[in-house]
Amino acid sequence: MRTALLVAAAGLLAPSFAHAHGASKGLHLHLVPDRAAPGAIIEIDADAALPVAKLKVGFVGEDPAVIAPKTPAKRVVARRAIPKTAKPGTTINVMAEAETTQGKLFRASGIVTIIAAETKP
Amino acid sequence: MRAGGAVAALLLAAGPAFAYTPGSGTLLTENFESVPLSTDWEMQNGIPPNLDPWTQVTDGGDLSFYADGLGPFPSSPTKHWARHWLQPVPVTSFSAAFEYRGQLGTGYAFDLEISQRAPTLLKYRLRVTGAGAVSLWRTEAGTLTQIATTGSNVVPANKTRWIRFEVDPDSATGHPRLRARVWSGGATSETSTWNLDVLDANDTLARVHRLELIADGPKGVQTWLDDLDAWGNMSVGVDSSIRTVYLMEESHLDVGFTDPPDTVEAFYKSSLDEVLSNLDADPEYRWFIESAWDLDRWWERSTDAEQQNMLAHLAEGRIHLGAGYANLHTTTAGHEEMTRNVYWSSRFAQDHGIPVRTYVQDDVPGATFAIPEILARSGIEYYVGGMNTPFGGRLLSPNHGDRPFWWVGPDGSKVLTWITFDSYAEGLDYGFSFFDDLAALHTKLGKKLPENEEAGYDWPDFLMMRAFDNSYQGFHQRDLVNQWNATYLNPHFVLATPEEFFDHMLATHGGAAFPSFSGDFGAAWSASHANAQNTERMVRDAHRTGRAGQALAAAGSVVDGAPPERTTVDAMYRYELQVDEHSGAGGWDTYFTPEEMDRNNTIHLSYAQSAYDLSHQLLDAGMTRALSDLSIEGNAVVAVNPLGRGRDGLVRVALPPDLYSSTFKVVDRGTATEVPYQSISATSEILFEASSVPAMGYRVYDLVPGSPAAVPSGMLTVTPTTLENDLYRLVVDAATGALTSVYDKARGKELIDGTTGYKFNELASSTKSQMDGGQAPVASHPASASTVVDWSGPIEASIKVTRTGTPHVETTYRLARNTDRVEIENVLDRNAMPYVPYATGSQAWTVTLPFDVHNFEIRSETTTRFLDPLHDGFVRDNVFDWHNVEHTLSFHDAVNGIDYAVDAVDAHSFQHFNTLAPPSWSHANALVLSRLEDRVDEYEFADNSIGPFTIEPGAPTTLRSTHEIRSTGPSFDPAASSKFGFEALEPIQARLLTHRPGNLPPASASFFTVDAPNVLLYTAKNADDGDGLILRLTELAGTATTAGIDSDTFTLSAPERVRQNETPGTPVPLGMSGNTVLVPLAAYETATVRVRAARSWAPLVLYADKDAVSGTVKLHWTGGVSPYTVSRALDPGFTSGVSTPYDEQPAASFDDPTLVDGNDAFYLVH
Repeated sequence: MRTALLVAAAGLLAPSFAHAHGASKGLHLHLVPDRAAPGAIIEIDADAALPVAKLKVGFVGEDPAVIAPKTPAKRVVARRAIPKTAKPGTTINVMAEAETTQGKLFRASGIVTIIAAETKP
Repeated sequence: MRAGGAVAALLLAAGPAFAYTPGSGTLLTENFESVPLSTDWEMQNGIPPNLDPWTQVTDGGDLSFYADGLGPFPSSPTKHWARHWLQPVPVTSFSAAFEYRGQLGTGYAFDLEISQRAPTLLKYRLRVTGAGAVSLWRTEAGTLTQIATTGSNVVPANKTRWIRFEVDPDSATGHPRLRARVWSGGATSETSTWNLDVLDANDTLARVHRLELIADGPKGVQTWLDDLDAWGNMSVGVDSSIRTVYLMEESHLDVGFTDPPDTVEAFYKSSLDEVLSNLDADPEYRWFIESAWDLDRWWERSTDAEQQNMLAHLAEGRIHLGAGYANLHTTTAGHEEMTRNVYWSSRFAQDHGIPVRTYVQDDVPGATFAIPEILARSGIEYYVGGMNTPFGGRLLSPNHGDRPFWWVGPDGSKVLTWITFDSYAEGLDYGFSFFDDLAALHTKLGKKLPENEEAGYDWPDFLMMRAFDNSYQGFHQRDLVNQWNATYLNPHFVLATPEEFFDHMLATHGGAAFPSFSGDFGAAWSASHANAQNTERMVRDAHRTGRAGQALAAAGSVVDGAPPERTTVDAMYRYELQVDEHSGAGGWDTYFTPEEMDRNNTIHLSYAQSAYDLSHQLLDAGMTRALSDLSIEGNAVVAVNPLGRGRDGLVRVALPPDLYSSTFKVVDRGTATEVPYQSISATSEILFEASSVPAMGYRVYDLVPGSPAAVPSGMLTVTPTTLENDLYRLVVDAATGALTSVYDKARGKELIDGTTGYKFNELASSTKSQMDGGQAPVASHPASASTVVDWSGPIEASIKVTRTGTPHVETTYRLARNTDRVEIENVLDRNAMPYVPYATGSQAWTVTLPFDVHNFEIRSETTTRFLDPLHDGFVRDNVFDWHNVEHTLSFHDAVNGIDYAVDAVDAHSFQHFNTLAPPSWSHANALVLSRLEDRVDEYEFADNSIGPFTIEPGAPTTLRSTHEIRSTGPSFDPAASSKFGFEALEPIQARLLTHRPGNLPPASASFFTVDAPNVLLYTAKNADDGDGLILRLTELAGTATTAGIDSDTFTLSAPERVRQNETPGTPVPLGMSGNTVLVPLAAYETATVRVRAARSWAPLVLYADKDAVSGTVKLHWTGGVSPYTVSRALDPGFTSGVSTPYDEQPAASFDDPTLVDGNDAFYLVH
């Protein structure tokens, strides 16, 4: 019966049209904007397959922000400042871990392109 | 009965402030204070609605928890359990005590169990029964068996009691001594006596891995626990037989998926820049470049100085380059493409003097059987598979404990292999996740590492992959490793490249210490290409056309002596590899904005379009060069066979209107016999059958003025509903356009199974929910159909079906005279398929082909050879139930057999499509389903809006596929099936040439041919280093063979076997017999042969002079090929006054006395 449960979960998370790959199953990040200057605030939209009890989100080399929604939700939005040490013309990963109300741990990583401060995204 | 006696007093403070001293222990779990149970207890073992059978409550200022009835297990509906995963600690330091209250009663039990998971699974149990007795249990032959018990009512119902349970090695025997004591709840000190004390003389316990609580009783009967404390020595870290963990860090390449490809390219520039900085900063730092694509893109964006810095680090060895260009769907890669996947790295390594030793295939949970051979024969030593098994089938054999193992290919080649069971991202589950700290690493490692021991892994060294999709995290892993090594004794972490792990294992244990496994685990995921059908069609065409073009270009470079083509070839394969990379168009929900989705999909479509365009450019240019020294008189059609076997086949070529409208015969120049042909007025084409066109060669057919008189042999008849040649008789259902009969006349067998409920070549579809449920496709009947005779011979005849009310708008059934092949060309109109809303997910379309073949054997031809999926595959817990074939899918039972090939589709299923992988292959009934189109119309965008998207922006919506069928009878002949598929999908090329000189054999010739029918010559190319040509050939039938390579046109010399990727290695000289290169091949072996080829003729140079006295024109010439023929005409186009005064004579001179002064004459010598 546990096998059946796992299979059903895989089906839930694997749209047949998509390429069933990636380590980031169950959590997707959307970054707005995904081109930003050092110090700029970006919105990290974390979209999980199951309601999230706690979300950790942060950039490479910094402590994550921890968000515990009052009401668990599949979608959690965080705002973070691009590290001021980020160099224009490079990219930086933003990473997130979502702990669901069922105790599952989903992970995702996204890419932000760093632009000069005077550049419009 | 009371077991044991009093033992030394152990006085402990009551309440939560317990201390424990027998071992050197520290607290493993402290009450339940302030920590939600689910963070360190595995509680989510239930099934809805009772997901958390244990309930945590506040008990004054403390926490406690209780369980009620209504358990989660269907087999034991009253049972609850809660597990706490301990850091594996030495058993000498373990003890547990807790405050307990149970309502007891008939049928009730409470258990506290501890277990050693590895190296041997052992369990010990303390039980409180419904009568209040306490008992001790041990594992005997895998079953928990009671070995001691108290009397009843030691623990009264509804009374709080303290209970201690210890399992310590006996000082004298080393065997575990089990002890239990019970004392009053609320007591201020612990009693000094043991209620039970018993020796387990059977076993030896090394460490404790797990604490498990189980309450089993009817609903309403509650069990309360409070102040549970367990002790153990945590300073050891994770007590394990695994002593050293080699941590391999990389970024997993997805060309797309997380971001559109152009963003991913920029990411690899940035991240590899930082990796180089890290290497400079820390001599212990390591990095592995998983895919050469990463470095290719980085290289394009880097300065000379940056490139030199990269090369210095690669040479030094703390950063290594993977051998593969990208993570492919390996069973869909073309025959040559799979080998080309290791070319970029190999060349880079050779050009810059750096090592490339390991091939990494991540994410896709498996790879084709061909890989061990490709790697072994390319000098690549190791294979690492970071397999995403949750979506693809977990290997059961080889298993954890079999690693590393020698992966042995069908030919016996082998490569030392490591595979993961938790994907390339497994390191994150072991405690190296994005935000893990030392405590998290300790907890996770303690839980995960024993899994390997449990599964039989018993080496002291272990390779751990840590990667994520297009992701880089600086020094995070290094910092954690340093903290761990400074804090704990075991295991010791080493930042490493995979080569460091493998080298260590080989040096320490020797290669013979590792087991060998031979098998395939490909065919995973690649049906996902069916959602981008134009892409699929183009890349499959590019596989075939590109290989043909490459071979002709290679031959052409010898013919014309000009430099070989390399830029186009390289670019074409690079595009092919990017298409067959596993990411592709589309994407997971919420990843992309509409703009990003469109950009992602446009880029992926452009990869396929570029591969297609370049392959056709290569073919066109290759034909031009290969035929550039072929002499032609008048007009001739040259049939060109780019395949490595001689063949018959139809030639179709367009003629200029004036030539088409003239009266001419087609004459085989070699036999001087007229060949019947068919005119196609709509396109000014002619169609005729070319016979015995040499392997990788040509045959010339002259178009000679005069009335055609040739009559074809054999029969070919057609009506609007029947089509018949000597071999097959087809009957079409006029109402639907499906076939009601495909009759094998020679064998007297009907090939269609009329009992399935499906018509033959009828459209059907499956929605995602139907696929999830394992349902067979739902047939889609047309509103109307009409059938007409499309062509009626003499060479080919066809029936065209047009339909309304269905996406299956058109079908053409074709038979050719004397041809053992039924051809079905289907046209689907994507616009006529129902829109697929988000809630539906997807709808997969196929035509149903129910063959009368049952409980059959399968052979699927993938990269270079046929697989037997039922027997060749590694043992897995499930399989992706489709078969990827480059050319031929063959299946047979004891009565019938079929060879089947489709040009535009690579994934085929039997009986039904599946979303979820079934445990085994379907092979009961040969209802063939080819993945013609998976329609998907809606996507959940990044803002969570659901809307339409286009998977292939701007691509045609008319989808065309041609299905080729041959009846084989009840057997499998690999050479015949291979020949069928190649010839069915790779037509004879044709070129109309007009008058010109030349020295190639005038009638027919093979540039390269192989004399063994069981050996497939599938690649001819210019050597990468410019030294000669490379030929690749594979033995198909499992029979050791010495194959002879010969050429009608070139003088072959200095042959040698070289590495498959053409890197230097140690070439092995090959023998020759005359102009034949002798290549010994083991069963299923692929040989890569370098051969030097030179034109077997000197260029013909003609000299003309006139005898001043007689007026005789004196011609002589050098070079060319004897015998010689001289033609003369009055115009340079040789259209008037043409004569042949010197016909096939040996002498290289000719005197022509007949000219009239003042007139121009033109001579052609060949």
